[in-house]
Amino acid sequence: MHENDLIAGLLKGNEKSFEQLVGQYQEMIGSVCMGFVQNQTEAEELTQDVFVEVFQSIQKFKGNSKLSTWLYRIAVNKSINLVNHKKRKRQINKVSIFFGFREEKEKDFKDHGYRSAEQNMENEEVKKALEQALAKLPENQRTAFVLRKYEELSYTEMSEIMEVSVSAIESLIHRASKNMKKHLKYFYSNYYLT
Amino acid sequence: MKHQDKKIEKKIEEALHYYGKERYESNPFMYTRIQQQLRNEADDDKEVQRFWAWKPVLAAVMIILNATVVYQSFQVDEGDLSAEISSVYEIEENERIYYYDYSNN
Repeated sequence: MHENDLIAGLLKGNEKSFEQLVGQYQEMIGSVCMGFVQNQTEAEELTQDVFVEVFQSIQKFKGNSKLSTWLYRIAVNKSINLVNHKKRKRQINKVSIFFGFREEKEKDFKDHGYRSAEQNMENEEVKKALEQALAKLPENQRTAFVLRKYEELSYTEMSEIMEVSVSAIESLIHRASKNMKKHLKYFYSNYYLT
Repeated sequence: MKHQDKKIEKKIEEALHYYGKERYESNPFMYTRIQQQLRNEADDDKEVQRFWAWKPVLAAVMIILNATVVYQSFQVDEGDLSAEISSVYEIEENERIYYYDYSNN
């Protein structure tokens, strides 16, 4: 189905068109979400939320950009919201641990890791490191990093999604890579110290 | 220390290399899940609407209750007043009888 036909069907509330949209764009949206959360289950839940929002707000789509660009924007916003929510939750947990209201989870993660297979443990460790380093990046750097490294989008596509210039995208990616290395270094330094 | 730094550097490279390797796997039941979520949200909306449909009925009940309470409070006041007046008359009557008895004796 051509994109215009698909949009026309969606605007009419045609169920077949919506099914087609889900089939066609699930992997793309899921990948963006995965880039942010590093977890299949959470990425699936986010993808589901993205499609629900698309269904509910399709009338707002003016057709000024490509459908995929609009979908990317919704997926990025939803993912950022979730990452920020998790970040706030982690901060609350830290405060709770400090005051002794809650037991430390980091230890659980490490202990659990040592008990399971070595490869799994390393993957979990890397995922955790990436998730935490990504969460520390400013929103625009995080988005640029995910879209470039995970989605392998071109600078032009990224500038359309993020509504900034191509040169700004270049700068964002450069700073994001630098900060990712810094945050990962901090994570691993702490990880090997404890 | 140098050994640890090298180890950390290696870990950073590995992590950045790993990033993007684990891909999202499409869920074949995604559309069904979305439909279910939309249905649940529609049900929730209906429940909220149903609740607000009761609003005029609730308002009417509240008005009737208020009116009853106000009416009853007036009724009680009137009763109290008449009781008070009759008790004053009673005292006066008793005093009159007492005075009459006293003067006759």
